[in-house]
Parts: sequence; C-alpha cells; structure tokens
Amino acid sequence: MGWELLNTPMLWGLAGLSLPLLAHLLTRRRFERVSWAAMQFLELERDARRRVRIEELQLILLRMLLVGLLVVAMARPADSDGWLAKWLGEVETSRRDVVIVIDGSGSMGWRGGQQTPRAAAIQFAHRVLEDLGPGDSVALIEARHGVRAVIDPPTVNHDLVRAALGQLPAPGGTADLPAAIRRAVSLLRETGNLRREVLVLTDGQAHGWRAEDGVLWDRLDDQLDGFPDATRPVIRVATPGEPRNTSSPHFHVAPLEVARELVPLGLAVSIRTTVIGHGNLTTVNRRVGLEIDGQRLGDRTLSVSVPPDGEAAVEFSYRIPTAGSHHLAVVLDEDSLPGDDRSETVVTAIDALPVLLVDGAPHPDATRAETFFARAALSAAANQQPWVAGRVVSWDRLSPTDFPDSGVIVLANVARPDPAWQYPLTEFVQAGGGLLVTLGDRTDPAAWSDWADSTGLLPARIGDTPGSATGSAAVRVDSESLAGSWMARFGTTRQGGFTEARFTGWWPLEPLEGPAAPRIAAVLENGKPLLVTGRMGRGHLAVWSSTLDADWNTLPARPDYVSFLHEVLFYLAGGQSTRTVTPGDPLLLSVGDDFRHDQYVVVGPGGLRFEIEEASSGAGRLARLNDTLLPGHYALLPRELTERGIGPAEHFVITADPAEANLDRLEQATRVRLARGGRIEFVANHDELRDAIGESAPRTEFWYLVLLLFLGLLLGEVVMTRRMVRGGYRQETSAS
Amino acid sequence: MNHRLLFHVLDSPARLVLGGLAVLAAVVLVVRLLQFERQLMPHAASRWLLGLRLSVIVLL
Repeated sequence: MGWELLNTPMLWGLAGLSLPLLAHLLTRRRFERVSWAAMQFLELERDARRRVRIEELQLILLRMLLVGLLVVAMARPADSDGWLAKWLGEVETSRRDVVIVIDGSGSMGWRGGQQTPRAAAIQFAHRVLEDLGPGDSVALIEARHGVRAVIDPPTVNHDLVRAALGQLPAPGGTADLPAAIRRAVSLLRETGNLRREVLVLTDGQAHGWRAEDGVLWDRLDDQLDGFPDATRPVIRVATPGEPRNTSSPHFHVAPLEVARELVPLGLAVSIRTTVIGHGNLTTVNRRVGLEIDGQRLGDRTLSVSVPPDGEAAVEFSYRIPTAGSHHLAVVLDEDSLPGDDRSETVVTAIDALPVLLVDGAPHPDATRAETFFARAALSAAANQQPWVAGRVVSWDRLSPTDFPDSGVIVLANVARPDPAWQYPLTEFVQAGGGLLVTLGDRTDPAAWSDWADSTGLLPARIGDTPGSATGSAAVRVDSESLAGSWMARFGTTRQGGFTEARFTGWWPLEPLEGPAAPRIAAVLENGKPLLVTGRMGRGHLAVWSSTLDADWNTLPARPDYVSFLHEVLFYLAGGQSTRTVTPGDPLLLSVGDDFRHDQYVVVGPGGLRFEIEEASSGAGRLARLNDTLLPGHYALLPRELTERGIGPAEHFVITADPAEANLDRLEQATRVRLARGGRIEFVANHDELRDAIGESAPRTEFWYLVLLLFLGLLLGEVVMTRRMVRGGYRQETSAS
Repeated sequence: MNHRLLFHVLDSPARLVLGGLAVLAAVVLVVRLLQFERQLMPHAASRWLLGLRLSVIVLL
C-alpha cells in the first residue's frame, strides 16, 4: 500500500524532459566573434553574465520539471491507505466500479422461507444500486453452469441494471461461482475507477463453490495480483437468503434413462428414473407423473414411497404416436425446491431406421450370404410397419454416396476396409451415424487393426488368430457382462434367449486406449470380448467379434436375434438424436437446403427467445444454438408460429445438474479458507456490506494535485521570463 | 487496464467551475509566456517553442 502509478506506460513520456534542453540549444544564435577596439565598453560585466547564465539554467530546469509533472499526472498517481488518501478521502469519495454476480442456480429458488434467496438477492442488488453515485459503473452477470453476462460492459446507467434485474430467468441448474468471479475480475481490468468491487449474491450453498479446487482459486489470486494495489478489486460475498430453514424435506427427480433416444413409431419406450428424498425423517408418499410435450398424462401417474433420505425407482412405458421429436418429463408434485421436481429428456420417433447392410461375403445362393439372416430379421413378413428399412449392397459395389442416406451402416465380414471409405465414413459417424463392423472368415485382422489405429473408426484392434471351439466346447455369452449396459435386458436366462446362443468362432478384440475409451458391452464365457462399442463425434461405433450369420454362432437361430439386432441398430443410431445435452453444449439440428435460419427461433425456459446460427458439417447444413447455459426445455419453432403461440416444434432439453439438490451450506472452515489472504470477504446483510465498504482502505488518485503544481510552476516560468524581459535582455525587434 | 485520465469535472457544478478556472488560468499563462518570449527571441522561435509545448501535451 502506498503511492503507485496506474498508467506506467505513460512514463515513456519522460523522454520529453530533453525537449527544453534541445529547444535551448537549437534556438541559441550563432554569432561570429569579431574583436574590435571598443568591444570592452559594450561587454556586460562578468557578474551580470553569470547571472544571465544562472537564470537561463533555472528556466531550463523549470521547463524540464513542467514536462516531468505533466507526465506524472498522465501516469495517474494514486495512493491507497496512505496519509494522502486519508486526507483527500475526507474531501471526496472516489468512484466505484461494481460487478454484481447473482447466483442463478436452482437452490436460489428455495421456497421454504419468507422469500426465495433469488428474490432476496435481487432486493439486495437494488439496495446496492441505490448506494451508488452517478459516476459509478455497474455490470451484472449471472453464475450458471457457465457465466451469463447480463450487463456487460459496465454501465453508469443504473436504470438499465434495475430493468435487467427484473428480467432474470428463473433459477435452475448449478452455478460455477469461481468462474463467475474470475469473469467479474477480468471485467474490472477494463474499467477506469479506482475502487473496484465484485459483489456475489448467493444463498450460502456449498455446491458451486468448488472450494476443494486449489488450482482454480490460485488462478484467481494470480488474476488479482495482476492489479496495482490501488485498483485491486475487493470481492465480497453476501448471502441475503440465509439462514435457510432446511428442516422441511424436499425431493428431486434423478436424470431420466430412456432405452434409446431414437425410437420407431409404435414401439413402446421405457423411461426410468429415481425419486430421491432429502431431509425426510419418515417414509413419504409422493405423486409422480409423466408429461409428453407439456401435457401431463392422467393415466401415467404413480405414487411412490420414498424412505427416509432414500430413493424410490420409477418406470413409465409410453408408445409415441407421431413421428418427430417429443419432450418427455417425469414430474413430482411441487415442494420447497421446485427447480428439481422434474427431469426431462427428448426422444425422436421415426417411421423406419434406414440401415445399409454391406455384405462382405455375397453368395449366389442368397441363403448363404453373410447378411441373409440379418435382412430376414429386419424385415419380418408379419410386421406391417417394420422399424428398420434394411438395404443390402455387396462390398464391391459400395459407394460413399450411399452413406448419407443411411442411419446405420453394417460392414458384415468385409475382408478389409477400402481407404476411399475413410473420409466419407468419418463424416458420417461424426455427424451422428452408426457403424457396426461384424467379423468372420474373410476378415484381414492386420488391415482392420491398422484402420482402427489410423482412423478411429473401429473401437478395437483385432488379434492375429481367430479363436474357435467346436461341439460341446462352444461358448456362450457371460450374462454377468451384460449387466449395467444397454444390453442388460438380454442378460436373463430363458429358452431361446441371447445367452443361450453358442459361439464356435470369434476374433480376439483389444479395445483401443485413449481419453474416450471404448466400452465392452458383452463378453463370452471364456473372457473374450464379444461386442465393443465406442464414440466418434456424435456417432456410435461397434465391433462384433463373431459373424452376423450362423457360420460362427447359433444366435441367428434364437428368437432374441431379432430383438438384439434391433436394439444394437437403434443404439448405434442414437447419435442422430442428440437432443438432450448438458449445459454449455450446443444444440444442433440437421436441416435441409431449403431451411431459412432467419425464419426460425428457439424458445427456451421462461419464454426466452434465442436466435439460431447457420452451421455446416460433412453431413450437410445445421441449425445451431450456442447459448445453452439455462437448463430446461427448448423448442425450435417457425418465427411466425411463435407469435400465435402454436406450431410443430423440434424439441431439445438442457439437463440440470442433480447435485444441485444437495443444499448443504458452505462450512465456516471453508469460508475461512476461501477468504484467506483477504481474497474474499463474507457479509451477511446490507448493513454489513456498508460497514465493510466504509472500513475499506481509502484510495485516491491525485493527478489533479500534480496538475495544480504544474500550473504553479507554469506561473513561475512566466514570472522568470518576464524578469528576463524587464532585466534588459529584450530582443530589440527594430534592431532585428 | 484503462489508461485514460478520468475527469470528473461534470460530476458537480463546483468541480465544473474549478476545472474551468484551471483551464482558463493555463491558457492565460501560456499566452503571457508567448508574449514575453516574443520580446526575448524572434517570433518564429517563440512560435516554435509554443508548438513544442502543445505537441508534448497532445502526444501525452
């Protein structure tokens, strides 16, 4: 603490100190000395000449001092906590730049008290605005899963901030408070006032502070250390909603699990979730219902018993009647924390999934072709409305132009991948397509392993030698390996079931390693992986270590073959329906060439409207929305229909963090740790905030004092010059 | 970091009057200085010095 210069680059101006000296030297007249007899009578006395030189020197020094003072004034000298700041602080109060950070998390919607923490925070913010002077600037940001800038850059128009406070969307999801504080501090780097403050208005919930992440808080310290002491921002945290009465229990719905996001019309979709109790001391019955596209279904309401601080499983089944995307929500009757009483997802119903079966072992006798059983399973004659539209093509007639029209591509016993497929297949999968590779007697393991390493289009490398077992030694699927995966439904042992199939041949698979490690979805009883799945972009990949037909296993002869094949194909096609995403991930929708982006708008939570952007991928044009920090339901609608409030919509859901339901408060020890080194000050109410502001170290700039001194010295220069003129050194204009 | 000097002279009438007086005083002093310097040196040189002073301010 002490005197500092806030604008040190201005010190380069000190080079101007040389200007008075240069001006003096350059304006000296050059005379030719001519000695003549009467010269001795005209020369000044020696003392007088010395006096002239001294006065000239004083004038030069004075002029250099003037330049120096001007430079120092421009460099913005400031004093913090020094005698000058204290003295000037009594004369005037320096201006403030304030960034108000409002916690936008779901817990701010707690209704167990007189008012919600959100309402208390907004009221608090209004009182802070009343305390600000006309030159004080204010910015407003909301801490959500990411940082949502509401008023940025800071403004001196406080009415603008008041209006924005009244239009904040309802709280929901989690809040990244450290990120919001860091953003606020970075905003204050661009402001000009001496006193800079961040005011965080939250509810005292521990979740969202990330107190255990020391590196994160060290970064904030580094950011603060980058400021001069005089402008170092002060971070104050106020918890106007505290103390919260958390004795009343509340319940939340866990994220929904749907068997698949892409479903064929007419096939029932299973929706599973859990109702979790918090603070209920006894078993409590809660009503829970299913909503489809905003309509609660009367015949899909259950009553579940939630044990003390326990959970109860809930499952609904629903047959979607129309094609297109549909918004599904499992909803609890409202409690003290309404933000987590519902959990949502989106499923897309389609008429039939287009599947391209690439036969790597075609045969003139169709029954002996590699894809014979698969094609038969996918187009059962008894099914009037097939869920899969399968098309078979021989591997040597496959064209990359076939890819975009497919939802899933199955490469069945193809000897080796054609390098020409790499680019179009990568684009196809990254855009959400599914790729299944099944192996067999034609497989070239080295070629496929190289393909896996170089393209990532195969989630596993293939061993050199296939395994085999004959007769009674044939192996079955380890039913335990199916638990916990989307194949769990095939784990039950029954007549004709998946686990009854016997495998006589398989290729050993070695799942690739990396950040997005593949997953082994099924294992044979001998421990060899049977099905390995992976991701690439938005799409899914899978490799089946045995044959698709009955050459190496008896699965095609089992009734479960049909349902297994459908299940795996719809799983692989799931990437095409990425309508349920986490906050911060963009919403993407593939659109046709005739789609006009400016004619559509996205309506989000609370009726907020968002403009969509045009984007493109290898699979074609996209409509894209990047601003996805608010959890909840979003609908893409034609702009003209939104004005009438109706219309067919493309649905999306941004999920909320279920951990937000944990209302544990920030412990005192944690507060002390966060406040270490004066990083943060916690205040309970507005009076404490005022006291904290009043007790903060005085800060002031005193450039105007330096300019006053400059003015005084300028007066001195005038006086000295005048004395030189009056002293007889006047330039005789007539003589010149 | 904002490198601009912040002039709050418009915040209150008193500041406005004081700021105006300071600027006026500076202008008067510079004019007087110019007049005296014209008596000490050729007009061209005095104008050159004035230009130098003003350019320093503008550059800063």
